[in-house]
Amino acid sequence: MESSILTIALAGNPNSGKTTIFNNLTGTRQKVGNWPGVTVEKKEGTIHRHGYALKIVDLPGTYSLTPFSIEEIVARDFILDESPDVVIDIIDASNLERSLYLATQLRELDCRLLFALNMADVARERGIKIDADKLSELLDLPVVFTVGNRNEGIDGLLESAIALAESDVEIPRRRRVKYSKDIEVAIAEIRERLVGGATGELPYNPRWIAIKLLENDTVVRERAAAAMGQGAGALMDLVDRHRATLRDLYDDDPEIIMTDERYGFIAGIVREAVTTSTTHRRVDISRNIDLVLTNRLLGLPVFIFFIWAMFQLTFSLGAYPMAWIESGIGLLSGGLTRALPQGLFRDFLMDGLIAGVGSVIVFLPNILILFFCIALFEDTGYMARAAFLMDKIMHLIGLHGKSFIPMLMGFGCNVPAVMAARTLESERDRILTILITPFMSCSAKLPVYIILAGTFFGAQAGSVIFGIYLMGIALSILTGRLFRSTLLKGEEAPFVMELPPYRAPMLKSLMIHMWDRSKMFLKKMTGVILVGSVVVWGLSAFPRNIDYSVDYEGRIAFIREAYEASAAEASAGQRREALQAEMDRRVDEVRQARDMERAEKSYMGRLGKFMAPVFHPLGIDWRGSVALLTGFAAKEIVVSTLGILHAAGQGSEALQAALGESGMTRLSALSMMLFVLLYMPCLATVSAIRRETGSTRWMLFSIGYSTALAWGVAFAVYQGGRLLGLA
Amino acid sequence: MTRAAETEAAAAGAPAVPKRLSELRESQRGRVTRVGGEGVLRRRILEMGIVKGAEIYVEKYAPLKDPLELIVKGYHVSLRVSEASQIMVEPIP
Ligand SMILES: Nc1nc2c(ncn2[C@@H]2O[C@H](COP(=O)(O)OP(=O)(O)OP(=O)(O)O)[C@@H](O)[C@H]2O)c(=O)[nH]1
Ligand SMILES: [Mg+2]
Repeated sequence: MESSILTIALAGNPNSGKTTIFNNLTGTRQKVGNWPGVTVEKKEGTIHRHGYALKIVDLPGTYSLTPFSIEEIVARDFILDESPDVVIDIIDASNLERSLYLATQLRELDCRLLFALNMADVARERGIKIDADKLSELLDLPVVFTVGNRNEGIDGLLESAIALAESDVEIPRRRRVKYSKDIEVAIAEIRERLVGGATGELPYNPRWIAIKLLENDTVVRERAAAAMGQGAGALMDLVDRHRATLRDLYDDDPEIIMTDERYGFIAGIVREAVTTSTTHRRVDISRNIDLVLTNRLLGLPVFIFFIWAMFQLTFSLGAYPMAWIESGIGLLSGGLTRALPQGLFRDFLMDGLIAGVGSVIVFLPNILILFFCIALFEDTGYMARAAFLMDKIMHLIGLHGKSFIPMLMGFGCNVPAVMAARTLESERDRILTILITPFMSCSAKLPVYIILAGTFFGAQAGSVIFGIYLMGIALSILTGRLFRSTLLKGEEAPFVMELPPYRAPMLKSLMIHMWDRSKMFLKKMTGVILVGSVVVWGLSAFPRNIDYSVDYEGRIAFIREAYEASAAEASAGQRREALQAEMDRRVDEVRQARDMERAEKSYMGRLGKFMAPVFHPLGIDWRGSVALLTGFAAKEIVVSTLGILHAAGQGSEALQAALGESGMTRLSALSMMLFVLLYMPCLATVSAIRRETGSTRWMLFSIGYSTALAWGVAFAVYQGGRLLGLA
Repeated sequence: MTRAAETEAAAAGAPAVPKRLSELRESQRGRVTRVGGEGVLRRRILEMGIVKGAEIYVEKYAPLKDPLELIVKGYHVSLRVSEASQIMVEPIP
């Protein structure tokens, strides 16, 4: 029996463990990571407990109710506008003093508030003892200890939350920050005016509105004005007058004074409720790790080594499972060829599905390893250090160290990377980061490089691919520099970033992450890539009856006849076998020529021929052109399309062989890889760009710019290479 | 003030002369006397706990000398040198 719905919001500072607890409560697997700003949009989950439907909402982290960046606005708006039944402030117990800043602000809102002192284990380890009863008494709210990553205290937390929601006691109005007398006088006066003069309903509690008005919060100002109707003008005059008086009095803005005073209040609480024993203070492992990882001399080389190692692992370790999958596909297609009668259906299966999906699925291991490495960066806490190390370099291109986090994530997938840019405070920084992130080559482009570099560069494939990645980074930096000095000029945002302590990554969560990634990949395989492959195959298999320029069947018959004749003459078995092989080879040759002509005369071929003039100067043939076009749906489809158009049924090895004979050269392969690196992002990324910039124009700009750049670079490399006599 | 005068003042037990936070070297400590700067940035710095009276420890400078890592109120935070130069501190020996 469901009696009612309760909304429970999880708020708190960034990186305090909100999502960890959310996952524990709801049994979901939202992304967790050890750096501030992992969650950038609110996530909801409903569970049924104690006769309630509990709607749990995980919010992005905020340091205060004064929002600076988009994800902080999301959190604040939820707490203010949706007025959840209970707000749980997830507090990093090892970092109590700073966390209490948001807590006191939430307290002022007079919502039903509950503290979860999370990371209780870390606090204990550091010798920090928090007297929960005292804290609870001082702030007049329930306090519960939790250890999120070990699922400790979570049930108690939920029970307290429900009890709090059920309790109908008036929310205590004492126990909150008391400001200095002059400020309190101003608050009281504004409050009275609000209560007395409101024509509509006041959006929040009047004392809080008064405080925010004194702090000059623009959003609250607008809302209060709306609620005041006629009296708005007079109210704002009053507020401005008080602000001016206070500014004269303290020689500083009221919001600054009030921040100081809140911290003063907090210091008092901490003095009473917290004891830190310095006696059994253990070595701070995290600081010791940083002695090396952010060391003046070693820091940057180690960083570069990590990135190099990440790609090295991706390629070398990934090669083994890739070979297994490949032979699996080989077995499957071999079996199918034997089992099925020749015809349209077999063609569809072999040349459409297996050539299309099969040529991509072999890359699952590589992609997983890459994601595993990125997840390691995120879970250990190294991500924030990467931003710290790179800030100066990013600064040179007018960007922010924090921009580096989305860029690094972009190596995995551009969609979450574009969203991760939300943590940047400045709108211009954010748009700039979104525009340059797609040049960080995502994992879906990897198959294209492996196929092309593997075919044409043999032993140097690894270096070539690494070079492509570097090229992407370099061009993103140049682009950043260019846009910064033209389109997106402006102030730089501050670089105030918390550096969380290192934590051992949890194997379980890494495994879960990999599992989820695999599922996503397989879903993509059975979704857009499957459909894409079918469409590409359909377009390349039809029309069925083509008038060939040569009578291929006649030629085959002729070869067969010639064989029969010479076989009759030849007596020895060995000689006959050699003849047979010779015949097979020649028949295959003719068949290939026939397939080639058929492909060229298919719908796909016609489309390719239509596009060819654009790509001809880049050394890319019509198949490549079509493949690039289909890559807009998802970059993996580039490889699928190549697989289908080259009629390579047996996974990537067959495709490599076919490509090797297709007339492509090293230079044209390089040109094509560069084009893939740079040209327009995939559909999912493009729509993420549209969503995150809130503007179709930026989206079109991104498509246009990247494609133009891709063409330009590929042209320069191909034509330049030809001039230099490379082929 | 010249360096000599500064040492003299310190030797005489006079309260330390406020310095810019960016002038502190690694492993030096200071107490915040004033947070300068403007608007949003200043507010953010204050809200992160770098308020008047807070004790700050300079953990290190990044390899390229910018930004720097501080410890304040028991946690680590990084700040650019240009931002740190707006914060005045009284060195604590
Ligand atoms: N030692 C310890 N680590 C924890 C605890 N709870 C969470 N963590 C770790 O803390 C890190 C941050 O957890 P998240 O759940 O992503 O934090 P969040 O509050 O959602 O962070 P944002 O989304 O960035 O605001 C992760 O590495 C967790 O594994 C805990 O109680 N003890
Ligand atoms: Mg989170």
